Amino acid sequence: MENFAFLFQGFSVALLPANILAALAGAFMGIVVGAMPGIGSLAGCSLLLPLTFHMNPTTGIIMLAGIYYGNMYGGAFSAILLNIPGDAPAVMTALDGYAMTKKGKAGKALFAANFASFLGGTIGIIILTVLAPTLAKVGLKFGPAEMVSLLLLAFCSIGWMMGEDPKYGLISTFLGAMLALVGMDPVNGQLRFTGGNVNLYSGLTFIPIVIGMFGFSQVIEMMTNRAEFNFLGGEKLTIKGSLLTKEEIKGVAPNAVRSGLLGCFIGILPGAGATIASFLCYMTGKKVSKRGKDFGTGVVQGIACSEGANNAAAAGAFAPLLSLGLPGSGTAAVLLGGLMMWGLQPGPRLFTEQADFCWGLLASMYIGNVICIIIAIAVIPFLTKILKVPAGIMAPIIMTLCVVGAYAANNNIFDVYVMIIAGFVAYFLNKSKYPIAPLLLAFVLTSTLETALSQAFKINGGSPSIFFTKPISLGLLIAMLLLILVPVIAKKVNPKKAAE
Amino acid sequence: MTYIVEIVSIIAGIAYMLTGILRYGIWKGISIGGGFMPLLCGGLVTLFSVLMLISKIKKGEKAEKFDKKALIPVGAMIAILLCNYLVSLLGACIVVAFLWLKFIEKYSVRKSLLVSVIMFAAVYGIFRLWLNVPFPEGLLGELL
Repeated sequence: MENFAFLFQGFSVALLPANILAALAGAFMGIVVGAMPGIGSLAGCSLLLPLTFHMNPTTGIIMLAGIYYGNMYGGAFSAILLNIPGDAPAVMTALDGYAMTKKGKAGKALFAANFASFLGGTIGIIILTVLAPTLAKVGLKFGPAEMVSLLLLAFCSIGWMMGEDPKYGLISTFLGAMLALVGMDPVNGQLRFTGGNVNLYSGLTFIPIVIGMFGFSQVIEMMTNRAEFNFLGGEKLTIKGSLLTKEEIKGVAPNAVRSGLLGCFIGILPGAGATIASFLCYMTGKKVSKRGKDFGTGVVQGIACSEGANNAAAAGAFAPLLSLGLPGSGTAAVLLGGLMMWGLQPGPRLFTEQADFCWGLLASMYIGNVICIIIAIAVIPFLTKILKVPAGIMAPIIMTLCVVGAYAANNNIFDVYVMIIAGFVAYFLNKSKYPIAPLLLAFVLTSTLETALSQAFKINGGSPSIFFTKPISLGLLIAMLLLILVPVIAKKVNPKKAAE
Repeated sequence: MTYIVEIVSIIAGIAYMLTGILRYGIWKGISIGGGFMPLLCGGLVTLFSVLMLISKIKKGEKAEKFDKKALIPVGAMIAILLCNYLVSLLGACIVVAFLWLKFIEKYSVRKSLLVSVIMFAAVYGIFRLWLNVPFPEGLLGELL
């Protein structure tokens, strides 16, 4: 209850006109930048950080939090409308979001994404308000062994469940892992598979690959299969027409709430973040939701899972950041840089010594979340105008966005080459029925997996027993085994039902 | 074409395994070496690709015929990369977009030009002016 008293005090700080204005400006810019392919939340926050330099710390961090939150909302827009995820967490949103756009339900997809983002974000902030310091300590119990088991569970769940045959998903997963191994080995500093190319020393960049695999491969598809893109230039969409029906809300709400709870916890884990949250919650939704088997074909439940999770994880990342000074993700590291620049030292004493700042920030997250959903809903009719553009005009526009987005990731023309090759490869993979999402998940997580694996072995003197003696790790490994074995056993016991 | 992904995956998987074992080393002191993950991932890709290949051969699956139109966007991208050295990256994008609209989509010169210019203005305004992305300027930019 004491926390809520502090929170009300925080609202008195956050509701100052300058702070509301900062949250509003941050949310708006965050949404716009988040929707730009190739920018994403990390680059978005880094690029917009200088705007807060002349502000006082509280106003500055409130604006930065608004930008971070807006990024999470905006990332879904380009994923849903153009099939170009603005950022890694929006990859899963593109699966159902773009499928809905193709069915002429872009407005509903955007509305579902916004609604789920709001629910997930709110859950994340409430958990953060009540349990921030406690949760941060729980997050610290997640050592390398637990992280390896969690990542293996993520790999297996998505590899096993995507694609019409598990082999498709698993090949795609391990191809993604192989791509991630290019560049400097994160453990020993050894250069691998670079062929002497300086551009590959730091590895392949994720953004050009995701832009190529989703955006550019779609331009190729537009050329070869124009009839499928006739939805472009379609009907007029309004806010009223985009509103979710009672039935659709029933589909979105439980999935967003479940993903919000799970996503917030994953966001707290050091090194995990919104991407793993969105992938894992999507796969959990696919397994437990009534319409799980329709995920990927354009259902609001799929959008709710990934959007609810990534917004909750974005809130969760603030727990270790504020109470322990540990950034859970790259974007959180930028926020930490901002905090330190203003002379604030994050850590257990921040909540007592800088109560105005901490509780003002938490209160502003509630306000920022409300502002974000209002802006996000208000722009739906303008955004969906994109769909009125005929496919013939859309193709060169998407192509230009792919080039510019890939280049902007590192300001390196080499990334444009990577994007083109990734797009062409993805076209072949799609034609051969291989899902792209597992490849991208594995690409993002392999470096973390390798580092954690090495640390776990070092801690235990080179013995793998650490994975089986730690209860959390063992639990996750058992969950992974069940995930693999239950469908196989079910198939043996009742082949008819398993086939269904 | 039917088995292209599996065949490429098997070749890449074997190459990763061999390089991992022979070049990077799979174990170092009390922890994994640089070759452990290439061996693991390469091995699993090879295993599943062989299984997939056998399953596809057994089923007699046939892939869709490759559509040569798929090469048009790739050609356009190569044109952008080549033009980039002359007229800057954004300049190359606007030139290729104009040519695409005029000759592939058969729009009028006026409409093609209008769309290209609006697109250029939007991209330049957001990425260059607002977000300060330093695009390559090409020979023309350097001369100017």
